Amino acid sequence: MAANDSQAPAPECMIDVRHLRKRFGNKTVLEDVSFTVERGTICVVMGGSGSGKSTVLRHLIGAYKPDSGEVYLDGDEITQLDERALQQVRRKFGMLFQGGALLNSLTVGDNIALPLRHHTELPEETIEIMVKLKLELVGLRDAEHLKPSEISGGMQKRVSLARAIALDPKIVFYDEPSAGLDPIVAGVIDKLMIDLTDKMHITSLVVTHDMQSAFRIADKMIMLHRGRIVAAGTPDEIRESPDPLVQQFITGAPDGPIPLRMSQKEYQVDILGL
Amino acid sequence: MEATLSKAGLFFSHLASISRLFGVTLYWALVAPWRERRAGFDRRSVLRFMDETGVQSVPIVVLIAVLVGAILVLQTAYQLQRYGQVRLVAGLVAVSVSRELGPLLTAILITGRVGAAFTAELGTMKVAEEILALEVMAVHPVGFLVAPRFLALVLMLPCLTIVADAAGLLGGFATGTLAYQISAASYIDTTLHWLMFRDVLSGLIKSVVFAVIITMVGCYRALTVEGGPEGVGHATMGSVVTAIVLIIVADGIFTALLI
Repeated sequence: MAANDSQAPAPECMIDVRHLRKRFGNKTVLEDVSFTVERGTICVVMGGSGSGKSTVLRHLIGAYKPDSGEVYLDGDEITQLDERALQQVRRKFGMLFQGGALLNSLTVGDNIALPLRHHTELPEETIEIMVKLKLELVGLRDAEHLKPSEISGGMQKRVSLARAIALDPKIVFYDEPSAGLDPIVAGVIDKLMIDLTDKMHITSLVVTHDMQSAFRIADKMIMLHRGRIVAAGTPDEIRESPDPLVQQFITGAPDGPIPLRMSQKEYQVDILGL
Repeated sequence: MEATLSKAGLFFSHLASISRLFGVTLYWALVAPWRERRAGFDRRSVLRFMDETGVQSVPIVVLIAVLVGAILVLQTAYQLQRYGQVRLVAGLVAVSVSRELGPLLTAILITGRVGAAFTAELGTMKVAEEILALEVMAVHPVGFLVAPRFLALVLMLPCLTIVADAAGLLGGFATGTLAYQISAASYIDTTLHWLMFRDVLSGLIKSVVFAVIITMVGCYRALTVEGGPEGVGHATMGSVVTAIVLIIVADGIFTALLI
Protein backbone atom coordinates (compact mmCIF):
# COMPACT_ATOMS: atom_id res chain seq x y z
CA MET A 1 0.00 0.00 0.00
CA ALA A 2 1.39 3.42 -0.93
CA ALA A 3 2.38 5.68 1.95
CA ASN A 4 -0.01 8.49 1.09
CA ASP A 5 -2.90 5.99 1.13
CA SER A 6 -2.71 5.53 4.89
CA GLN A 7 -3.13 9.22 5.63
CA ALA A 8 -6.17 10.20 7.63
CA PRO A 9 -9.02 11.53 5.51
CA ALA A 10 -9.90 15.22 5.35
CA PRO A 11 -12.27 16.33 8.14
CA GLU A 12 -15.04 17.09 5.65
CA CYS A 13 -14.93 13.51 4.47
CA MET A 14 -17.36 11.47 6.63
CA ILE A 15 -17.07 8.17 4.79
CA ASP A 16 -13.81 7.22 3.09
CA VAL A 17 -13.52 3.76 1.57
CA ARG A 18 -10.12 2.82 0.15
CA HIS A 19 -9.28 -0.14 -2.07
CA LEU A 20 -11.80 -2.51 -0.48
CA ARG A 21 -11.37 -6.12 -1.56
CA LYS A 22 -13.42 -9.08 -0.41
CA ARG A 23 -13.65 -12.70 -1.50
CA PHE A 24 -16.08 -15.37 -0.31
CA GLY A 25 -14.43 -18.70 -1.03
CA ASN A 26 -13.04 -18.28 -4.53
CA LYS A 27 -15.70 -15.77 -5.58
CA THR A 28 -14.52 -12.16 -5.67
CA VAL A 29 -17.34 -9.99 -4.36
CA LEU A 30 -15.55 -6.64 -4.12
CA GLU A 31 -12.61 -5.67 -6.29
CA ASP A 32 -10.78 -2.45 -5.37
CA VAL A 33 -13.77 -0.33 -4.33
CA SER A 34 -12.85 3.24 -3.31
CA PHE A 35 -15.10 6.25 -2.77
CA THR A 36 -15.72 9.13 -0.37
CA VAL A 37 -18.83 10.83 0.97
CA GLU A 38 -18.71 14.45 2.15
CA ARG A 39 -20.35 15.66 5.35
CA GLY A 40 -24.03 16.49 5.01
CA THR A 41 -24.56 14.87 1.62
CA ILE A 42 -26.50 11.86 0.38
CA CYS A 43 -24.58 9.24 -1.57
CA VAL A 44 -26.53 6.56 -3.40
CA VAL A 45 -24.89 3.22 -4.11
CA MET A 46 -26.77 1.39 -6.83
CA GLY A 47 -26.34 -1.80 -8.72
CA GLY A 48 -28.19 -4.96 -9.57
CA SER A 49 -28.59 -8.01 -7.37
CA GLY A 50 -25.23 -9.56 -6.68
CA SER A 51 -23.32 -6.42 -7.68
CA GLY A 52 -21.76 -6.20 -4.21
CA LYS A 53 -23.65 -3.14 -2.97
CA SER A 54 -24.96 -4.87 0.15
CA THR A 55 -21.47 -6.22 0.81
CA VAL A 56 -20.09 -2.67 0.73
CA LEU A 57 -22.73 -1.65 3.28
CA ARG A 58 -21.87 -4.56 5.57
CA HIS A 59 -18.24 -3.47 5.52
CA LEU A 60 -19.21 0.07 6.43
CA ILE A 61 -21.12 -1.04 9.54
CA GLY A 62 -18.32 -3.38 10.61
CA ALA A 63 -20.28 -6.59 10.06
CA TYR A 64 -17.71 -7.87 7.55
CA LYS A 65 -13.94 -7.54 7.65
CA PRO A 66 -12.35 -6.87 4.25
CA ASP A 67 -9.52 -8.99 2.86
CA SER A 68 -7.69 -5.73 2.25
CA GLY A 69 -8.49 -2.05 2.17
CA GLU A 70 -9.61 0.55 4.69
CA VAL A 71 -12.87 2.11 5.80
CA TYR A 72 -12.82 5.48 7.59
CA LEU A 73 -15.98 6.72 9.29
CA ASP A 74 -15.70 10.26 10.63
CA GLY A 75 -11.91 9.85 10.71
CA ASP A 76 -11.84 6.45 12.49
CA GLU A 77 -10.47 3.45 10.64
CA ILE A 78 -12.91 0.65 11.54
CA THR A 79 -11.65 -2.50 9.80
CA GLN A 80 -8.94 -3.16 12.39
CA LEU A 81 -10.96 -2.32 15.49
CA ASP A 82 -11.77 -4.87 18.17
CA GLU A 83 -15.36 -5.34 19.29
CA ARG A 84 -15.26 -2.80 22.11
CA ALA A 85 -13.73 -0.05 19.99
CA LEU A 86 -16.16 -0.80 17.17
CA GLN A 87 -19.05 -0.35 19.62
CA GLN A 88 -17.79 3.17 20.34
CA VAL A 89 -17.73 4.03 16.64
CA ARG A 90 -21.16 2.47 16.09
CA ARG A 91 -22.75 5.00 18.44
CA LYS A 92 -21.94 7.62 15.80
CA PHE A 93 -24.08 6.04 13.12
CA GLY A 94 -27.56 4.64 12.67
CA MET A 95 -28.98 2.27 10.12
CA LEU A 96 -32.32 1.68 8.47
CA PHE A 97 -32.60 -1.99 7.62
CA GLN A 98 -34.39 -3.34 4.59
CA GLY A 99 -37.04 -5.11 6.64
CA GLY A 100 -37.05 -2.55 9.43
CA ALA A 101 -35.47 -5.04 11.86
CA LEU A 102 -37.50 -3.76 14.80
CA LEU A 103 -37.46 -5.99 17.87
CA ASN A 104 -40.84 -7.69 17.81
CA SER A 105 -40.93 -8.35 21.54
CA LEU A 106 -40.81 -4.62 22.32
CA THR A 107 -43.32 -1.86 21.61
CA VAL A 108 -42.57 0.80 19.02
CA GLY A 109 -41.69 3.26 21.79
CA ASP A 110 -39.38 0.79 23.55
CA ASN A 111 -37.64 0.04 20.25
CA ILE A 112 -36.72 3.70 19.87
CA ALA A 113 -35.88 4.03 23.56
CA LEU A 114 -33.53 1.04 23.42
CA PRO A 115 -30.40 2.86 22.17
CA LEU A 116 -31.21 5.80 24.46
CA ARG A 117 -31.54 3.58 27.54
CA HIS A 118 -28.42 1.69 26.57
CA HIS A 119 -26.06 4.52 25.81
CA THR A 120 -27.21 7.50 27.82
CA GLU A 121 -27.80 8.26 31.50
CA LEU A 122 -30.96 10.20 30.72
CA PRO A 123 -33.83 9.88 33.19
CA GLU A 124 -36.83 7.90 32.01
CA GLU A 125 -39.02 11.01 31.64
CA THR A 126 -36.52 12.61 29.25
CA ILE A 127 -36.28 9.40 27.23
CA GLU A 128 -40.07 9.32 26.91
CA ILE A 129 -40.05 12.86 25.55
CA MET A 130 -37.25 12.06 23.10
CA VAL A 131 -39.11 8.99 21.87
CA LYS A 132 -42.18 11.15 21.22
CA LEU A 133 -40.04 13.72 19.37
CA LYS A 134 -38.47 11.11 17.12
CA LEU A 135 -41.84 9.51 16.43
CA GLU A 136 -43.34 12.90 15.59
CA LEU A 137 -40.50 13.42 13.12
CA VAL A 138 -41.66 10.36 11.16
CA GLY A 139 -45.33 11.15 11.78
CA LEU A 140 -46.14 8.18 14.01
CA ARG A 141 -46.63 9.55 17.51
CA ASP A 142 -49.83 7.54 17.91
CA ALA A 143 -48.08 4.22 17.32
CA GLU A 144 -45.90 4.45 20.43
CA HIS A 145 -47.62 1.71 22.40
CA LEU A 146 -48.22 -0.70 19.51
CA LYS A 147 -46.11 -3.75 18.75
CA PRO A 148 -44.22 -3.77 15.41
CA SER A 149 -46.44 -6.64 14.22
CA GLU A 150 -49.50 -4.42 14.64
CA ILE A 151 -48.38 -1.74 12.18
CA SER A 152 -47.85 -1.85 8.41
CA GLY A 153 -44.52 -2.45 6.68
CA GLY A 154 -44.20 1.19 5.68
CA MET A 155 -44.85 2.31 9.25
CA GLN A 156 -42.30 -0.21 10.52
CA LYS A 157 -39.72 1.35 8.24
CA ARG A 158 -40.51 4.83 9.48
CA VAL A 159 -40.22 3.61 13.09
CA SER A 160 -36.93 1.99 12.16
CA LEU A 161 -35.76 5.33 10.79
CA ALA A 162 -36.80 7.01 14.04
CA ARG A 163 -34.76 4.42 15.93
CA ALA A 164 -31.77 4.91 13.61
CA ILE A 165 -31.67 8.62 14.45
CA ALA A 166 -32.49 8.22 18.17
CA LEU A 167 -28.93 9.03 19.25
CA ASP A 168 -28.59 11.90 16.75
CA PRO A 169 -26.01 10.08 14.64
CA LYS A 170 -23.57 11.75 12.28
CA ILE A 171 -24.07 9.10 9.60
CA VAL A 172 -27.17 7.10 8.64
CA PHE A 173 -27.00 4.05 6.41
CA TYR A 174 -30.07 2.99 4.44
CA ASP A 175 -30.45 -0.52 3.05
CA GLU A 176 -33.06 -0.51 0.24
CA PRO A 177 -35.23 2.12 1.95
CA SER A 178 -38.00 1.91 -0.64
CA ALA A 179 -38.09 -1.87 -1.06
CA GLY A 180 -41.58 -3.26 -0.52
CA LEU A 181 -43.19 0.17 -0.08
CA ASP A 182 -45.88 1.80 -2.18
CA PRO A 183 -44.72 4.89 -4.15
CA ILE A 184 -46.29 7.35 -1.71
CA VAL A 185 -44.67 5.86 1.40
CA ALA A 186 -41.40 5.57 -0.54
CA GLY A 187 -41.74 9.28 -1.32
CA VAL A 188 -42.32 10.02 2.36
CA ILE A 189 -39.13 8.13 3.28
CA ASP A 190 -37.21 10.04 0.57
CA LYS A 191 -38.46 13.34 1.96
CA LEU A 192 -37.46 12.32 5.49
CA MET A 193 -33.97 11.49 4.25
CA ILE A 194 -33.59 14.87 2.57
CA ASP A 195 -34.97 16.67 5.66
CA LEU A 196 -32.56 14.88 7.97
CA THR A 197 -29.65 15.77 5.73
CA ASP A 198 -30.65 19.42 5.43
CA LYS A 199 -31.82 20.11 8.98
CA MET A 200 -29.56 17.92 11.05
CA HIS A 201 -26.59 17.84 8.69
CA ILE A 202 -26.55 14.06 8.71
CA THR A 203 -24.42 12.25 6.15
CA SER A 204 -26.33 9.49 4.39
CA LEU A 205 -25.34 6.47 2.39
CA VAL A 206 -28.22 4.80 0.59
CA VAL A 207 -28.06 1.39 -1.05
CA THR A 208 -30.90 1.01 -3.53
CA HIS A 209 -31.93 -0.14 -6.95
CA ASP A 210 -34.97 2.17 -7.07
CA MET A 211 -33.83 4.63 -9.75
CA GLN A 212 -36.69 7.10 -9.29
CA SER A 213 -35.89 7.52 -5.61
CA ALA A 214 -32.14 7.54 -6.29
CA PHE A 215 -32.32 10.52 -8.65
CA ARG A 216 -34.66 12.31 -6.24
CA ILE A 217 -32.34 12.20 -3.24
CA ALA A 218 -28.76 11.78 -4.44
CA ASP A 219 -25.98 14.37 -4.26
CA LYS A 220 -23.63 11.74 -5.57
CA MET A 221 -24.18 8.35 -7.18
CA ILE A 222 -22.01 5.29 -7.42
CA MET A 223 -22.82 2.33 -9.60
CA LEU A 224 -21.42 -1.09 -8.82
CA HIS A 225 -21.27 -4.00 -11.19
CA ARG A 226 -19.68 -7.34 -10.33
CA GLY A 227 -17.84 -5.87 -7.37
CA ARG A 228 -16.34 -2.90 -9.21
CA ILE A 229 -17.34 0.74 -9.40
CA VAL A 230 -18.30 1.30 -13.03
CA ALA A 231 -19.62 4.85 -12.69
CA ALA A 232 -19.57 7.65 -10.12
CA GLY A 233 -20.73 11.25 -10.21
CA THR A 234 -23.62 13.63 -9.68
CA PRO A 235 -27.11 12.52 -10.74
CA ASP A 236 -26.80 14.65 -13.89
CA GLU A 237 -23.46 13.11 -14.82
CA ILE A 238 -24.89 9.64 -14.31
CA ARG A 239 -28.00 10.45 -16.35
CA GLU A 240 -25.80 11.73 -19.20
CA SER A 241 -23.33 8.87 -18.94
CA PRO A 242 -22.52 7.30 -22.30
CA ASP A 243 -21.71 3.98 -20.62
CA PRO A 244 -24.24 1.41 -21.95
CA LEU A 245 -24.05 -0.44 -18.63
CA VAL A 246 -25.24 2.65 -16.76
CA GLN A 247 -27.89 3.47 -19.36
CA GLN A 248 -29.26 -0.06 -19.23
CA PHE A 249 -29.52 0.12 -15.46
CA ILE A 250 -31.22 3.54 -15.45
CA THR A 251 -33.75 2.65 -18.11
CA GLY A 252 -34.22 -0.93 -16.93
CA ALA A 253 -33.81 -2.33 -20.44
CA PRO A 254 -33.85 -6.15 -20.42
CA ASP A 255 -31.24 -6.33 -23.16
CA GLY A 256 -27.81 -4.82 -22.84
CA PRO A 257 -24.36 -5.41 -21.44
CA ILE A 258 -25.80 -6.76 -18.18
CA PRO A 259 -26.94 -10.28 -18.98
CA LEU A 260 -30.33 -11.41 -17.74
CA ARG A 261 -29.31 -15.03 -17.74
CA MET A 262 -27.11 -16.62 -15.17
CA SER A 263 -25.87 -19.38 -17.43
CA GLN A 264 -23.03 -18.69 -19.81
CA LYS A 265 -23.57 -21.96 -21.68
CA GLU A 266 -25.16 -22.09 -25.11
CA TYR A 267 -28.92 -22.63 -24.87
CA GLN A 268 -29.07 -25.30 -27.55
CA VAL A 269 -26.18 -27.18 -25.99
CA ASP A 270 -27.89 -27.22 -22.60
CA ILE A 271 -31.31 -28.22 -23.90
CA LEU A 272 -30.49 -30.60 -26.69
CA GLY A 273 -27.15 -31.86 -25.45
CA LEU A 274 -25.62 -31.08 -28.84
CA MET B 1 -11.46 -40.94 5.91
CA GLU B 2 -11.03 -37.35 4.85
CA ALA B 3 -14.75 -36.72 5.21
CA THR B 4 -14.69 -38.15 8.74
CA LEU B 5 -11.73 -35.96 9.64
CA SER B 6 -13.36 -32.81 8.33
CA LYS B 7 -16.58 -33.70 10.19
CA ALA B 8 -14.59 -34.18 13.38
CA GLY B 9 -12.86 -30.86 12.74
CA LEU B 10 -16.22 -29.18 12.28
CA PHE B 11 -17.49 -30.73 15.51
CA PHE B 12 -14.55 -29.38 17.48
CA SER B 13 -14.79 -25.95 15.88
CA HIS B 14 -18.48 -25.82 16.90
CA LEU B 15 -17.53 -26.97 20.38
CA ALA B 16 -14.91 -24.23 20.56
CA SER B 17 -17.43 -21.62 19.37
CA ILE B 18 -20.02 -22.76 21.93
CA SER B 19 -17.41 -22.57 24.68
CA ARG B 20 -16.52 -19.06 23.55
CA LEU B 21 -20.20 -18.11 23.59
CA PHE B 22 -20.42 -19.58 27.10
CA GLY B 23 -17.51 -17.41 28.21
CA VAL B 24 -19.06 -14.27 26.76
CA THR B 25 -22.43 -15.18 28.30
CA LEU B 26 -20.87 -15.69 31.72
CA TYR B 27 -19.27 -12.25 31.44
CA TRP B 28 -22.54 -10.54 30.49
CA ALA B 29 -24.61 -12.51 33.00
CA LEU B 30 -22.36 -12.36 36.05
CA VAL B 31 -19.62 -9.73 35.62
CA ALA B 32 -21.07 -7.01 33.40
CA PRO B 33 -24.03 -6.11 35.68
CA TRP B 34 -21.50 -5.00 38.33
CA ARG B 35 -18.74 -3.70 36.09
CA GLU B 36 -20.34 -2.05 33.09
CA ARG B 37 -21.99 1.32 33.44
CA ARG B 38 -25.21 -0.34 32.41
CA ALA B 39 -26.16 -4.03 32.42
CA GLY B 40 -26.41 -5.49 28.94
CA PHE B 41 -29.99 -6.49 29.61
CA ASP B 42 -33.12 -5.32 31.32
CA ARG B 43 -33.35 -6.94 34.77
CA ARG B 44 -37.11 -7.32 34.39
CA SER B 45 -36.55 -9.52 31.35
CA VAL B 46 -34.87 -12.11 33.60
CA LEU B 47 -38.05 -12.29 35.67
CA ARG B 48 -40.14 -12.60 32.52
CA PHE B 49 -38.00 -15.49 31.24
CA MET B 50 -38.07 -17.12 34.69
CA ASP B 51 -41.85 -17.07 34.45
CA GLU B 52 -41.91 -18.33 30.85
CA THR B 53 -39.28 -21.05 31.24
CA GLY B 54 -39.87 -22.01 34.86
CA VAL B 55 -43.28 -21.24 36.30
CA GLN B 56 -45.16 -22.06 33.12
CA SER B 57 -43.33 -25.39 32.81
CA VAL B 58 -44.49 -26.59 36.24
CA PRO B 59 -47.73 -28.34 35.12
CA ILE B 60 -46.08 -30.43 32.41
CA VAL B 61 -43.12 -31.28 34.65
CA VAL B 62 -45.44 -32.35 37.48
CA LEU B 63 -47.58 -34.45 35.15
CA ILE B 64 -44.61 -36.29 33.67
CA ALA B 65 -42.84 -36.74 37.01
CA VAL B 66 -45.94 -38.16 38.75
CA LEU B 67 -46.44 -40.65 35.93
CA VAL B 68 -42.77 -41.65 35.84
CA GLY B 69 -42.74 -42.08 39.63
CA ALA B 70 -45.80 -44.34 39.37
CA ILE B 71 -44.40 -46.35 36.47
CA LEU B 72 -41.08 -46.75 38.23
CA VAL B 73 -42.83 -48.19 41.31
CA LEU B 74 -44.75 -50.65 39.14
CA GLN B 75 -41.60 -51.79 37.30
CA THR B 76 -39.39 -51.97 40.39
CA ALA B 77 -42.01 -53.72 42.50
CA TYR B 78 -42.49 -56.29 39.76
CA GLN B 79 -38.84 -57.28 40.11
CA LEU B 80 -38.67 -57.01 43.88
CA GLN B 81 -41.72 -59.26 44.29
CA ARG B 82 -39.63 -62.24 43.25
CA TYR B 83 -37.45 -61.67 46.28
CA GLY B 84 -40.35 -60.78 48.55
CA GLN B 85 -38.90 -57.31 49.13
CA VAL B 86 -41.66 -55.07 47.74
CA ARG B 87 -41.24 -52.90 50.85
CA LEU B 88 -37.89 -51.64 49.50
CA VAL B 89 -39.54 -50.14 46.42
CA ALA B 90 -39.94 -46.79 48.18
CA GLY B 91 -36.23 -46.35 48.73
CA LEU B 92 -35.16 -47.51 45.29
CA VAL B 93 -37.61 -45.27 43.53
CA ALA B 94 -36.78 -42.26 45.70
CA VAL B 95 -33.09 -42.58 44.93
CA SER B 96 -33.53 -43.17 41.19
CA VAL B 97 -35.90 -40.25 40.85
CA SER B 98 -33.83 -37.73 42.74
CA ARG B 99 -30.43 -38.83 41.42
CA GLU B 100 -31.35 -39.55 37.84
CA LEU B 101 -34.83 -39.39 36.43
CA GLY B 102 -35.96 -36.14 37.99
CA PRO B 103 -33.07 -34.04 36.62
CA LEU B 104 -32.81 -35.90 33.31
CA LEU B 105 -36.49 -35.92 32.38
CA THR B 106 -36.94 -32.31 33.42
CA ALA B 107 -33.96 -31.30 31.30
CA ILE B 108 -35.25 -33.21 28.26
CA LEU B 109 -38.74 -31.70 28.68
CA ILE B 110 -37.29 -28.22 28.98
CA THR B 111 -35.08 -28.78 25.94
CA GLY B 112 -38.21 -29.38 23.92
CA ARG B 113 -40.24 -26.64 25.54
CA VAL B 114 -37.67 -23.90 26.14
CA GLY B 115 -34.51 -24.74 24.19
CA ALA B 116 -36.50 -25.06 20.97
CA ALA B 117 -38.25 -21.77 21.68
CA PHE B 118 -34.91 -20.02 22.27
CA THR B 119 -33.56 -21.23 18.92
CA ALA B 120 -36.73 -20.44 17.01
CA GLU B 121 -37.11 -16.97 18.53
CA LEU B 122 -33.48 -15.85 18.30
CA GLY B 123 -33.05 -17.59 14.94
CA THR B 124 -35.98 -15.65 13.51
CA MET B 125 -34.41 -12.48 14.87
CA LYS B 126 -31.14 -13.38 13.17
CA VAL B 127 -32.89 -13.96 9.85
CA ALA B 128 -34.84 -10.68 10.14
CA GLU B 129 -31.55 -8.80 10.73
CA GLU B 130 -32.74 -7.85 14.22
CA ILE B 131 -29.51 -9.20 15.73
CA LEU B 132 -27.44 -7.19 13.26
CA ALA B 133 -29.58 -4.17 14.13
CA LEU B 134 -28.69 -4.64 17.80
CA GLU B 135 -25.00 -4.81 16.92
CA VAL B 136 -25.25 -1.66 14.83
CA MET B 137 -26.95 0.08 17.78
CA ALA B 138 -23.91 -1.04 19.81
CA VAL B 139 -26.12 -3.24 21.98
CA HIS B 140 -24.31 -6.52 22.58
CA PRO B 141 -26.64 -9.31 21.37
CA VAL B 142 -25.24 -11.82 23.86
CA GLY B 143 -25.68 -9.40 26.72
CA PHE B 144 -29.12 -8.32 25.61
CA LEU B 145 -30.60 -11.62 24.45
CA VAL B 146 -28.59 -14.58 25.72
CA ALA B 147 -27.56 -13.49 29.22
CA PRO B 148 -31.10 -13.00 30.62
CA ARG B 149 -32.25 -16.34 29.16
CA PHE B 150 -29.18 -18.01 30.62
CA LEU B 151 -29.70 -16.56 34.09
CA ALA B 152 -33.39 -17.44 34.05
CA LEU B 153 -32.89 -21.07 33.07
CA VAL B 154 -29.89 -21.68 35.34
CA LEU B 155 -32.04 -20.46 38.24
CA MET B 156 -35.24 -22.20 37.19
CA LEU B 157 -34.10 -25.66 36.06
CA PRO B 158 -32.91 -26.70 39.56
CA CYS B 159 -36.23 -25.43 40.94
CA LEU B 160 -38.13 -27.44 38.36
CA THR B 161 -35.98 -30.43 39.23
CA ILE B 162 -36.97 -30.15 42.89
CA VAL B 163 -40.60 -29.98 41.78
CA ALA B 164 -40.08 -33.05 39.59
CA ASP B 165 -38.39 -34.94 42.45
CA ALA B 166 -41.29 -34.18 44.77
CA ALA B 167 -43.90 -35.05 42.16
CA GLY B 168 -42.08 -38.28 41.31
CA LEU B 169 -41.97 -39.31 44.96
CA LEU B 170 -45.65 -38.48 45.25
CA GLY B 171 -46.53 -40.58 42.20
CA GLY B 172 -44.51 -43.43 43.61
CA PHE B 173 -46.10 -43.06 47.02
CA ALA B 174 -49.61 -43.17 45.58
CA THR B 175 -48.88 -46.26 43.48
CA GLY B 176 -46.95 -48.06 46.23
CA THR B 177 -49.60 -47.53 48.87
CA LEU B 178 -52.60 -48.14 46.61
CA ALA B 179 -51.39 -50.94 44.29
CA TYR B 180 -49.05 -52.82 46.62
CA GLN B 181 -50.74 -52.20 49.96
CA ILE B 182 -47.57 -50.80 51.53
CA SER B 183 -48.69 -48.75 54.53
CA ALA B 184 -48.15 -45.02 54.19
CA ALA B 185 -46.04 -44.89 57.32
CA SER B 186 -43.80 -47.69 56.12
CA TYR B 187 -43.42 -46.15 52.66
CA ILE B 188 -42.43 -42.76 54.07
CA ASP B 189 -40.13 -44.39 56.60
CA THR B 190 -38.28 -46.39 53.92
CA THR B 191 -38.01 -43.33 51.69
CA LEU B 192 -36.51 -41.21 54.44
CA HIS B 193 -34.18 -44.00 55.44
CA TRP B 194 -32.81 -44.53 51.91
CA LEU B 195 -32.86 -41.07 50.49
CA MET B 196 -29.80 -38.97 51.36
CA PHE B 197 -29.46 -35.22 50.92
CA ARG B 198 -26.45 -36.11 48.76
CA ASP B 199 -28.75 -37.79 46.23
CA VAL B 200 -30.91 -34.72 45.82
CA LEU B 201 -27.86 -32.46 45.68
CA SER B 202 -26.16 -34.48 42.92
CA GLY B 203 -29.37 -34.21 40.88
CA LEU B 204 -29.42 -30.44 41.39
CA ILE B 205 -25.78 -30.04 40.38
CA LYS B 206 -26.54 -31.96 37.20
CA SER B 207 -29.57 -29.80 36.50
CA VAL B 208 -27.39 -26.66 36.54
CA VAL B 209 -25.09 -28.26 33.97
CA PHE B 210 -28.13 -29.24 31.86
CA ALA B 211 -29.43 -25.66 31.99
CA VAL B 212 -26.09 -24.41 30.67
CA ILE B 213 -26.23 -26.96 27.83
CA ILE B 214 -29.83 -26.11 26.87
CA THR B 215 -29.25 -22.35 26.75
CA MET B 216 -25.86 -22.49 25.08
CA VAL B 217 -26.83 -24.99 22.39
CA GLY B 218 -30.17 -23.26 21.80
CA CYS B 219 -28.69 -19.78 21.48
CA TYR B 220 -25.61 -20.88 19.54
CA ARG B 221 -27.73 -22.61 16.91
CA ALA B 222 -29.89 -19.49 16.68
CA LEU B 223 -27.00 -17.05 16.33
CA THR B 224 -25.49 -19.13 13.53
CA VAL B 225 -28.71 -19.56 11.52
CA GLU B 226 -28.28 -19.12 7.77
CA GLY B 227 -30.87 -19.05 5.04
CA GLY B 228 -34.33 -17.87 6.01
CA PRO B 229 -37.25 -19.74 7.59
CA GLU B 230 -35.94 -23.10 6.42
CA GLY B 231 -32.70 -22.39 8.23
CA VAL B 232 -34.60 -21.55 11.42
CA GLY B 233 -36.52 -24.83 11.25
CA HIS B 234 -33.36 -26.79 10.64
CA ALA B 235 -31.53 -25.03 13.48
CA THR B 236 -34.41 -25.64 15.90
CA MET B 237 -34.43 -29.34 15.14
CA GLY B 238 -30.65 -29.47 15.40
CA SER B 239 -30.67 -27.59 18.67
CA VAL B 240 -33.10 -30.04 20.32
CA VAL B 241 -31.23 -33.12 19.10
CA THR B 242 -27.79 -31.74 19.98
CA ALA B 243 -28.91 -30.57 23.41
CA ILE B 244 -30.48 -33.93 24.30
CA VAL B 245 -27.38 -35.84 23.19
CA LEU B 246 -25.07 -33.50 25.12
CA ILE B 247 -27.34 -33.71 28.18
CA ILE B 248 -27.13 -37.49 28.24
CA VAL B 249 -23.35 -37.44 27.68
CA ALA B 250 -22.95 -34.89 30.48
CA ASP B 251 -25.27 -36.99 32.64
CA GLY B 252 -22.96 -39.96 32.18
CA ILE B 253 -19.87 -37.95 33.06
CA PHE B 254 -21.38 -36.25 36.10
CA THR B 255 -22.97 -39.46 37.38
CA ALA B 256 -19.54 -41.10 37.30
CA LEU B 257 -18.02 -38.09 39.05
CA LEU B 258 -20.73 -37.62 41.68
CA ILE B 259 -21.49 -41.21 42.61
